Amino acid sequence: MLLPLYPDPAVRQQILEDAQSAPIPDIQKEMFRFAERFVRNSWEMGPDDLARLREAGLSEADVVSWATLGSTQSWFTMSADGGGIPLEGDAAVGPGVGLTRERYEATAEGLLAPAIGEPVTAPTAPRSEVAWVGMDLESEGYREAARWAEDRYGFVPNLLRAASLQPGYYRRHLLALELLERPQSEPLSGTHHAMVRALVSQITRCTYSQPTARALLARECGDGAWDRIAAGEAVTDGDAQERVVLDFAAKVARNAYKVTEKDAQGFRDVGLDDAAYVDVLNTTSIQVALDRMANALGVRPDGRPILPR
Amino acid sequence: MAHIQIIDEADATGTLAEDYAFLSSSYSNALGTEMATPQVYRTNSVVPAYFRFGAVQNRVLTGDGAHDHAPGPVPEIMVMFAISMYSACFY
Repeated sequence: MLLPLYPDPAVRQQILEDAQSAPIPDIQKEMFRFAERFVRNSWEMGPDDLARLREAGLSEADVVSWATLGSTQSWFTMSADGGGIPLEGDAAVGPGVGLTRERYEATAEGLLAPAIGEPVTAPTAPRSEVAWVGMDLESEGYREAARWAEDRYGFVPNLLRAASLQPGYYRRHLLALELLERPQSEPLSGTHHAMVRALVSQITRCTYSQPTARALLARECGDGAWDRIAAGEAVTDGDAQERVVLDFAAKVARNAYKVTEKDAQGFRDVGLDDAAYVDVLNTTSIQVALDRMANALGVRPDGRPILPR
Repeated sequence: MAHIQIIDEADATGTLAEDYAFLSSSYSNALGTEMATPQVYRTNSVVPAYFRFGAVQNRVLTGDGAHDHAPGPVPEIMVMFAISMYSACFY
């Protein structure tokens, strides 16, 4: 991917080492800065991050576009690493530019997400009424999405309002919300699905998704389950599958590149199959992808969970 | 080899077969040569609902395979590369 964008190998290497000192246009440096914060600590982003993008020349629609692209690509990276797929012949991100898995593991340790049991702190950046970006709530694309949400949830989530300047992505956002409502495979229980959502929203420190994840978990496991997950404690005694599922979800949410075949085997060892593995992988990656977008755009919590009526 | 079960085109039915066909045509259109569906989508083939999610994201990114999006201030592919880089995505 990097090869055609930057033909000069020295520039490529500098981008990989430190994009901010690479000989590239300022707007590209801002883009790399945005991407790094988006991936590694989106919960610390604030209005100033978006102001920098506007100062660099981005329109409001461009800002929403970058957050949306970031969300989309976040899913792709986790899906790729979580599945342990072989590289395409023309892959240029890793071996094509001289990087190996060993190199990644040595240098990219800890994508800054908190460990299980660490206190989950809310972002300190101020919240606007809906989000930190402009909106267009008159377009047909938005109205169609809003009607869908009203029918399904009884209200329009702020996330959809915040995304209104990129209405072409509503197909993706609506499907993501729908997929997160329940497991999509027989082997994964609703209880494990709810636990994964709760754990991931704590790892991403996403104040936007936490009310939904919390409500879903309370419905499945009772009121005390949220705090037990936050503390890294077992929610259900004697459930060997629970720890496997949650450990895998945490690994994908923090460092998906560390996933190996052993993780898939771990599922099989406790009686779960590859469909359950893919279900947990996607529940995690879709949740992370939406959470990063909500964090980056400063989407205000809805005041009620996004769950079907 | 992927470390989980994969259902390839030859064994796909229903929405999975439809999505395989779309993805192959989308990438073929973009690159001007016949392309199979890339590996990144296949990870989810055992749960077709998630395979569909990958296909829908490609549809959104490419304008249903037309690849006719107006260019932004930075190429979209560059933004996506940056996300991959900071994710340390080996793929």
